[in-house]
Amino acid sequence: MDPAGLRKDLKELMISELNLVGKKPEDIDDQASLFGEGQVVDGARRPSLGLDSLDALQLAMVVEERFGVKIPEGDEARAAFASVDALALHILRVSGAQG
Amino acid sequence: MVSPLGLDAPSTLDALFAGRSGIGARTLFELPGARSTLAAEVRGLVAEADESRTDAMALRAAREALTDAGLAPGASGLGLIVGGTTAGMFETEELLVGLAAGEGEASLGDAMTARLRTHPLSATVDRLVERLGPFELTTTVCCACSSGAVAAVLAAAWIEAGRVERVLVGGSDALCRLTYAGFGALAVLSPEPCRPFDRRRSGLTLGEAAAFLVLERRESAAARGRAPRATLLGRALAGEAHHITNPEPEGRTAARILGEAVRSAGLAPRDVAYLNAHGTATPLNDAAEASAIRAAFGDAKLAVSSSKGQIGHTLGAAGAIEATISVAAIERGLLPPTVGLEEPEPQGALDLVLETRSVTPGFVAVSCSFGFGGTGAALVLGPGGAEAPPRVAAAQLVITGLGVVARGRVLGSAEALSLFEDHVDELREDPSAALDAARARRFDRAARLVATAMGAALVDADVEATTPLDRARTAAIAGNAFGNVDGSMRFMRRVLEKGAALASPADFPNLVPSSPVSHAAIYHRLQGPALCTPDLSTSAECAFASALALVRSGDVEAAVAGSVEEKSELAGRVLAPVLGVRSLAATDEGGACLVVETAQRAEQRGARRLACVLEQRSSSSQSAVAGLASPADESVVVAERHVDLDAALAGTPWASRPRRVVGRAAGEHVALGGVALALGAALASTGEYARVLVVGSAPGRSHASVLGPPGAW
Repeated sequence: MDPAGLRKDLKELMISELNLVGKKPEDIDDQASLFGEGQVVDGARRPSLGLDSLDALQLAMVVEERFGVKIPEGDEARAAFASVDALALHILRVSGAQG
Repeated sequence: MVSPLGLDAPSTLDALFAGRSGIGARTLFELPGARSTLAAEVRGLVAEADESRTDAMALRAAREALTDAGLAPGASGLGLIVGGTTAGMFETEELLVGLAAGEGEASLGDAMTARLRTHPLSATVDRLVERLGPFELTTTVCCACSSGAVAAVLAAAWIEAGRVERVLVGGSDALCRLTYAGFGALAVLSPEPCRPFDRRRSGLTLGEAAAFLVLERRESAAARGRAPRATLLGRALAGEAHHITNPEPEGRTAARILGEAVRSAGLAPRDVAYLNAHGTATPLNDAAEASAIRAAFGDAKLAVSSSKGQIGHTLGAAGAIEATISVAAIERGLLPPTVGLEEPEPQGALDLVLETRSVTPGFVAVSCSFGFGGTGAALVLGPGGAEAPPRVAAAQLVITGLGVVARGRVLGSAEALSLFEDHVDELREDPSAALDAARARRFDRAARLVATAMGAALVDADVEATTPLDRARTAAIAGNAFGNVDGSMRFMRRVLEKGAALASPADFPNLVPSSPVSHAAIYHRLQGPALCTPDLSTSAECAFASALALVRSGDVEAAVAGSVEEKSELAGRVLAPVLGVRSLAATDEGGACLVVETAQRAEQRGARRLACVLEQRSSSSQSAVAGLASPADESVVVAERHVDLDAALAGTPWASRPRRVVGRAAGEHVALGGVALALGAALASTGEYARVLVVGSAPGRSHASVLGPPGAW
């Protein structure tokens, strides 16, 4: 799987499945937090999509459907859901291990 | 009472206090990919061929309650309120998935037609009217998992508002694939029997049950020589306006509900000995509820338990089941156990009852319920001999705002009268386009329409006011005949084709019948309860009747109420012919909402009055117009065009009055009754009529509302 293509696919999936009206894939930063208010790194707050737990469930379901990759529940999900980058990495790692 | 523990109240309660659990292997249906194999099923229930499990349970429990109260079916002055969320979903979900795909329609025989009649939430009321009626006033109420408790609050409001003398009130909900897959998708279904308030709790176990009570004034019971089993000492209900599925983490609104309920009983927290908690055993609910209990009761050492480890979470029935358990606890002097709880959550620091505890009978108990969308209620119950503090019902109610959605337009009171015209404009653009896209991103079509109509009505109610409406104490009430039947079948088709593991978490919350009104309440920050009153083409009338009672009784300060319906392919094509409601063959979307408040409050905030509410009557057996006072000279009758006014007015002095019929400009949909109410209020606001009678009807239902001009008092 091509990482850049995967990131774009994920952004498009998020926009359609979570109904992020008015957002385009290029509006979403690869490093941006998906949930909460965004982490503070080097004194600056990273942007966040501001998604919530209901979005997380939907995203986990569609990732499983589309890529055949399960997102673990609970604390482990936090790492996979940290950003678009982290999610793409998780998918590549798990599907690579499977393949 | 019908429950997984028994088919009547005594057997259920004996098993409950003995600590038995009704949770076991799920046998009613297979659901590949489901998170759990467990359920709390009612065993040995016999349903007739044309009856859903929900209706069969409701009928058994309602009959038992009437007999226990010494009342015969059709007793005078009797109202009926049913809380629920699923109705005949179990019996119809597979059939409707097929019909949605256009399969097998030609072969829709009598048996299938009878099954489909059990689908709408109002079907349970129909069954009870048929077997135990007639009733003076009936309604279905849904606010997800607090429906049963809210139904009891509404019953008290009906009695205090003088609508009925007594109410048969309860809840009934059967298990079905849709809720099972849906709660699974939300990751709140536990693979093991649920453990309320336990450190290791991992979610809820779904159950099914029905419970009914008879609520009446002490004098009414005494007149039949009956001593009450318990007294409803106080109650409160409110909405969080926070999130469509998640509770406020710190339980702030839940604490407010508990505190207000205790105060309304004229009691202090230390006077309460026992609390039957909602206690679903989901990580979020129990944590939020525990902090709410601590915030409301402080150091008062009250015992707390949850019955869901024995009966499961029975959704719309839970509030009624748990109120009944609380009544039995007070009578027997037993505190029910929390089965499944072994390691109480340390941070809870509550006096959790692990095993049945013997105490002196006759204590004060609180039963509370909280639901998806944020509406919760608490009932304060005491022994039969206890006296509830007197409550004064407001005599004068007024309508101060209205909002109509009609063929792409959004109209307030200044423009609404144009909808008496038959001229049909070209369809305008999306009337809900003005909603904030980000805040409305989870809304389905119905939610967008309800939020739009309620928004217009709220703006209309503040037009000349010096003080805006207090949204923290305003209820949102909207009927919708079928809920999201198209969306439900899309959700179910996916579950049946791909397995429950791929059920959509984002779609499920929108399938709860009260979801559109909950979304609207969250959007407009209305923190009174958000209720749905599904009742075919009289959903708006039921919403209006509920609003009047809750405002009159002081349970809320104001209400925005009505009915707004989306266009539904499945409802129009399949359910309309089956149910015989002509306007169900909808070609448009639309509806209307009205703002109701007391004349006193409207005056205090300098609000403009559109109309005074003079009288409202309903009947399940005859025209509600028959019971009305005679019309004054300058009177007019208003209805939507599917109402048979000749029949409704026959033999009454209203038959000779001029009539105005909602025009085709309002569109063609099942919420036209709400538009009739709004146009009635707009007509009253002109001051040209002394009385405006608005008539609404659906099969087995008749409503009559009399409005007066702004200066009627």
